[in-house]
Amino acid sequence: MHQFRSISLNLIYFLNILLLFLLVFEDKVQVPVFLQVAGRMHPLLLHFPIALLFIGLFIEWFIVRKQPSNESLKEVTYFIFNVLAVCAALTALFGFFLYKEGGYQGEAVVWHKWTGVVVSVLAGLLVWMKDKAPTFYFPTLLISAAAITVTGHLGAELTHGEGFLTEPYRKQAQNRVVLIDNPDSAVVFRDVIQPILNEKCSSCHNTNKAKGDLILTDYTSLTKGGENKDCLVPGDAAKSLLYKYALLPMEDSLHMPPKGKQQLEKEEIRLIGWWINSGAKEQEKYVNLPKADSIHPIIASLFKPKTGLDLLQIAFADQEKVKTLNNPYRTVQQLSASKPYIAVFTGSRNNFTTQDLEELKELREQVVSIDVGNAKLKDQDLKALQQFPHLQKLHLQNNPISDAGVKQLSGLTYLESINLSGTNITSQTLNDLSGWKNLKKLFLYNTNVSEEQIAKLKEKNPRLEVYNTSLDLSDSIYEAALSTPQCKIDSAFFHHQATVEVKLGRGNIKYYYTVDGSEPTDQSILYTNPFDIDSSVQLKIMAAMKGWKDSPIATYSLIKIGPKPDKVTLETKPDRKYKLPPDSMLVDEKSGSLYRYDKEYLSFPVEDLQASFMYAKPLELSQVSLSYLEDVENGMMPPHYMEVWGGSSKTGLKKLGMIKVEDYPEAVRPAAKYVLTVNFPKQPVSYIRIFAKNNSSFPEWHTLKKDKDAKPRLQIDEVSLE
Amino acid sequence: MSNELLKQALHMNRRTFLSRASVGIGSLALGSLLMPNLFSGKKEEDQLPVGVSHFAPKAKRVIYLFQSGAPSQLELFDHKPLLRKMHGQELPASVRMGQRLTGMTSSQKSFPLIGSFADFGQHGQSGAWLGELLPFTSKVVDDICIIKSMHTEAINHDPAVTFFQTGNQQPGRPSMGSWLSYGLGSENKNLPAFCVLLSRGQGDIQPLASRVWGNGFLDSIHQGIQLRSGHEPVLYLQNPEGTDATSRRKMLDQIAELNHMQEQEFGDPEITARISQYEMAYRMQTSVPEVTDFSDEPESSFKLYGADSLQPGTFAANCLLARRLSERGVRFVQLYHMGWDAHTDLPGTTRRFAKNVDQASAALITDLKNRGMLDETLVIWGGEFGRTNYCQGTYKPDNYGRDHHPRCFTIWMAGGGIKPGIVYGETDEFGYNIIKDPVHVHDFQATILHLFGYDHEKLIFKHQGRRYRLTDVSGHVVKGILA
Repeated sequence: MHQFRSISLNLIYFLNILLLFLLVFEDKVQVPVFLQVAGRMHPLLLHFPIALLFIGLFIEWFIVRKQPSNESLKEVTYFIFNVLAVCAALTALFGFFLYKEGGYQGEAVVWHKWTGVVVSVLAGLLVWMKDKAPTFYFPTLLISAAAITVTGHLGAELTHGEGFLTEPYRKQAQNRVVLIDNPDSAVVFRDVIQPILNEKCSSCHNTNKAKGDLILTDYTSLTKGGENKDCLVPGDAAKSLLYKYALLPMEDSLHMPPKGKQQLEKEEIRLIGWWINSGAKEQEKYVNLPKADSIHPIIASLFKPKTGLDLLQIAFADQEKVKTLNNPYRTVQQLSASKPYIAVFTGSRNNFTTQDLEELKELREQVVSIDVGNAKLKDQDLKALQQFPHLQKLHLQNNPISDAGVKQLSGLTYLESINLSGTNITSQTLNDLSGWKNLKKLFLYNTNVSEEQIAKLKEKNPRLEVYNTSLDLSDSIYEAALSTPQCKIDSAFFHHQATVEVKLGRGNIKYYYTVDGSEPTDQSILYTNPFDIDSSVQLKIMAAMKGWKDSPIATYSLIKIGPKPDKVTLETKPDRKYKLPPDSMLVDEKSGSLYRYDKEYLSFPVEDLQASFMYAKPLELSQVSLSYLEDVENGMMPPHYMEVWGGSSKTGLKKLGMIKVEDYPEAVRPAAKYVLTVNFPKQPVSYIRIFAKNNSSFPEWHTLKKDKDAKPRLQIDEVSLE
Repeated sequence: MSNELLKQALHMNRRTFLSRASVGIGSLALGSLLMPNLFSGKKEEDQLPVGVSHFAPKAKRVIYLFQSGAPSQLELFDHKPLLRKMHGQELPASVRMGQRLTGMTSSQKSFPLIGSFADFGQHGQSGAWLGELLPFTSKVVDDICIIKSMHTEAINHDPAVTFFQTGNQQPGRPSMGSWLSYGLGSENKNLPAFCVLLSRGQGDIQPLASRVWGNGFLDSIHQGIQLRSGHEPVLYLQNPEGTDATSRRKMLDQIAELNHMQEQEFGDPEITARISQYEMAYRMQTSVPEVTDFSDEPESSFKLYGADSLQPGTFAANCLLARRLSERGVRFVQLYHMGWDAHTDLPGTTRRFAKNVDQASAALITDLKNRGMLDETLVIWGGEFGRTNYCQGTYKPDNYGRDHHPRCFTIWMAGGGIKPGIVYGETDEFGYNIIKDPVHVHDFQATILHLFGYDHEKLIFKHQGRRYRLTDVSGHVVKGILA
């Protein structure tokens, strides 16, 4: 007995300390799963302390008091009170765990918690007092009995609901739950406003607890108001405190519901205001009130009918089973954790067989959505879909199926959306949609159903959403030209030959090109394969396809590099951005891109280009080519003309030839690279000078004309002598 | 002396052992109370099976048309007549309020306001204002939700794109597509769940690092796979020269056998993951060419998406490809159109780029709608930040630039549970600050996860001792744009 007592005393001490400790750190405590189980034993355990306390009280009062010297009786009471204290502490502890698991809020649970703690501590003290402080023993015992009664009552209220004990005495409140699937028949106060008040307000404003003397649990009390009579002023929400206080900022002490309590949603406040403004009558039906655009969607969402499927209460599928049904060609997924519905995707399959659907037999109840689009499905395959009675969404797009096949699906009464785009169905399917009672969306893009037939269908079923190609591609906005063709040229400056490859587009685009500088037409050379170029040319290419406008012309300049001069001198100096480029950049064989700031270009603002080339030994030459970038929009203009002078030394040069730029731009055109070539009779030269004339200012039509800072530039890339 | 200490330390009998141990066990029990997962031996992220959302999802797939380089909201979406009225006048300091600037304009002495060169008009039943450069988008304006009140924390391209894609300005976190792939799994196991398509406009283009579609600390199976425009859309997917399909199959079978043996010996789940990745690559050898071959597309598709769609690698062709991928169950298709960054020559750049993307973006909406996919496919269009209402560099009447502006910009979203035909949020009349319904990047991300049935605070991954989520430590679902 001594050992028992010492163990139990330690235990009582430990458990109470732990309990108090946890209470102190209450905010930080999170209860792990295994202790949640313990928490749920609270309702079982709590009966022991109640019973033991009253047994103890009974024995002490009626038996021990009469025979104070009976030692064995004393032992019995010791035993009882020790067990009581352990049970009380454990009950309190487990109750705490249950509380922390969540789901309990409000004042009752707080009171229950603290009275429970009081009981646990008092029970512990009782054990101690019995020996050490007998004068306090009996009063404490009585207090404990009172405390445990209160605790038990509060606990019962929590479990069974408020007023459980006295419920039979009270007139049962009429709390009708109205199942309405059509907002029109809703009585606004009963079905919309009262539920909001019940949920958010009535915990403080009810018949038991009427803060500010206000009761919000029924219409009569609401109209009566509380301390302040203006709770409800029919027809004037702005004067009604019910509405006004809800709108006050959170910081305002009058704001309702008070800080810390569950707040009204914006929509709910709006609904209350709307109802008050429209007269705040008790029996008014929604249908009789003026519709407000801002209110209707809220009301409609409140009365969203449970879909047929939710009423069926379909069981959840086994997750493991669902997992095994997944394979690379078929995805089976439960849509959310809260509902059992399953979606299947087995679209875009090359070798679809009905086997893919038949294997899902065990999920026939749960499957609500199947996507078998682009799967080469045939009419007879559709039969396999009949086994899923709860299908709501069916994707059958881009399959060679016809009316006969789709007809087999008329038994799918829950179907809400069916995608028949790109199938062979005709208006025949549309003639009888009666099987699909719940159909909301019908996709008919790219089918044999005509616009008129769809119009007729819409007339017959105004609520059905029909999707088809409503867009008129003959609209001028779609009259676009093909994109400018792009060529891949291994090297724009070449020594022997260059290979030109066109980046082919999709479809039947044909590419026509010229190499003589003329505009290509569909009579020009047709591009078939990559081709070689072996002299300096201007390549122009365009794309054409039936049903499309011809593309803009792309221009490429290809330059054959001749013998490299021994010395190059730039006689006019280009603009420099960072450092002056070397004169030899003119013959560096590096091609600049269409990007106007490409560093491969020598840029001459307003200034003309004049450069000379020297060979140590005279060479037989007959051609000079100059390559440049034209980007009109950004002020990079072509030269007006180019001259070539030549001879045997710097002095006494003869003009060998010149070329004028024929297609000088008259408006903005796409940026491109051009080449100017001057041909002259073959002759031995050792000194060549070229001159390209820049523009002194922009032409009148150019937008940069107005800009004082802008200067026309020559963007020179390369010079080649041959 | 040390002997003494040792003796002392070893001085333990059954009683002291039990009493001390009980303290230890007690503190463990206490510890488990304060940290519920201390002994559960279970990773939190495993608690929800892959593919099962927290609540019923609205969207199944995303096509994200990322406009990299930041388009100007003031020329395209956010109509500010006041800027035209005050064209050339100084931006009032009371509007700027000391907002930080980029290094490119911080040394500027003057900040002249610039009105849009493009005219605006109202479109659709919603009457939304759109710039004249978006004639096609104007036609679908009743199907999209324009958010004018986006704002971000970053002010430069790379951190801003990284922030948008991964929820953090520093590199290293998983991209949005990776998060969704991680949460939802793949719908079509013959294609990657997260595909990336790139296109570039003309001009001086800011680079884009592939890590913005990287998987971060998530399993590499969730990384974005780039599909290229050439004849080899996915690199290293084709059989090497001289290897035919039969011998490749045999080889894979042999490797799988070896891997199985290894797996039985070590039980490492990474080995099974490896086997399934080999198998997926094998299946992709047929599924990828099939999806990138457009020969089964009707002529009308190309008309709809515009002539560019005939040219592989353009934004339009990528939009069409994105639709084809979505149709085949790819969860997340991420497009990037690069080069919107108009510090100079904004009119030219914006005009050119709008032409690049307008028709195809609108076509995608129309096409998805017709094909019955829009209600399940979320389409997002937007850049990483906005552009300033003042001029960068010297102001010229016809040519100007705008610098980066993180305080407000516009994006649009459509389909997949988004309320169509609305304009959300408002900026002040200078187009500088938000005055109504601001949407932070984390709010945007939280909303996307919400549309996929995920609570953004619960889709987490534990890494290096802390739990990570896409929205970091903030973000609210933007309820106002939900259908």
